Amino acid sequence: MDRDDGSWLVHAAIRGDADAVRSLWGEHRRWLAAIVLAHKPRDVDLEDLLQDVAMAFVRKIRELREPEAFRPWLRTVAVNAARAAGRERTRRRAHEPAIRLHKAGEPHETPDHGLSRREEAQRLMELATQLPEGYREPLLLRCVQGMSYRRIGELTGLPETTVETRIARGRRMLRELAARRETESRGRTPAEVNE
Amino acid sequence: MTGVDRDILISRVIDGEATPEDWNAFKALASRDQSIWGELAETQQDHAELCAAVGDAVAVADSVEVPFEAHLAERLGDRLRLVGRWAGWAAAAAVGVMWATSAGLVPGAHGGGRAGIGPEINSPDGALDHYLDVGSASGRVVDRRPDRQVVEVVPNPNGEGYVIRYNLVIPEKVVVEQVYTEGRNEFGRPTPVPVRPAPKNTWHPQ
Repeated sequence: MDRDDGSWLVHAAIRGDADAVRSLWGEHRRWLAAIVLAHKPRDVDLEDLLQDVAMAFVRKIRELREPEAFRPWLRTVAVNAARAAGRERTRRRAHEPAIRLHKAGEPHETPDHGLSRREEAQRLMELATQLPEGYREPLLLRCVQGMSYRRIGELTGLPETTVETRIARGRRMLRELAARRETESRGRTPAEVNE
Repeated sequence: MTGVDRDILISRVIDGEATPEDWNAFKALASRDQSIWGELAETQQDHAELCAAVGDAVAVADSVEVPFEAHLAERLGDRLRLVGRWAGWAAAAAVGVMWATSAGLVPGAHGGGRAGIGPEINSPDGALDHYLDVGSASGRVVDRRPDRQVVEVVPNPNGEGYVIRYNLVIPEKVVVEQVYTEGRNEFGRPTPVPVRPAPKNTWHPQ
């Protein structure tokens, strides 16, 4: 990371400078949201998890020993928060009845018939979060301000060529998944899809 | 050409990363297998829709701010609890106030003089001199010459000169009945551990 990349801000944040902490958060929170999106359980609210990430960030920034590794460190904070939410959900579900009703406003299966463009995009993102773990994150990060392969590699610790391959393969898997979903929904009546 | 190569070619075209060689390879492939155009269009559409949905989803991050004040209050509480166990509540309150002052939690803690303290304290330097006078007289301040340790020198954002950040180090002394160092209990949490320096020996932490 060079000086223009904001390393002086990272140093200031480590020293406890509140403005630096806020600036860093403002600069990085969108791609952090994409990381959380890639790792969070489906039924956990993204905004709630981001609040957890923000708190973990402000608590732990002083412990950062390698300022040049700030971004990968921040990514780890976000991934850990998402995984902790996953473990909590698993623990909670172990104590819940096996069958539960959908709450109002909660995402649930709906037939594909007559979806708006926005709904289709939403459905596609849900499918993307079902891709294998190693493919989800690069694919979603690529969508955040067109993040470069190199930057995604820096964040995830993957070689640039691996990032490129995973994005390419992830896109193909997503295309196949969407096609399969469409074929399945066409072969069923709306009532069957709802079952 | 393998499947992965085909995927990567399509991906590079979508991402605007295709080199002239990639384009040649793509055209050669398309001349043999025109279905690649359909794949390209479909993947491009998926990518655009996915990015639109991801953009909508991550926009929620803009409303999430770092809870810095809550964190400061939390740390202050932790410090008061820890110091309270170490050296009694009087010391806890003192350290708490010092810490809170440095963190900007106490109104009027930064800059300028404060009403009622005295006419000579109307600047940071005046306040510092007053503190050194009173501290030396009480025996708390050991050395009246503060050491300035430079932390950072950066160009002034307004383009004129440089901003120097430094720490002011003023040696103080205090008499306590018992000293502690920070250890870890069986749960990995910080816990005070009594230290008993040998008589006439000096113990320096770290």
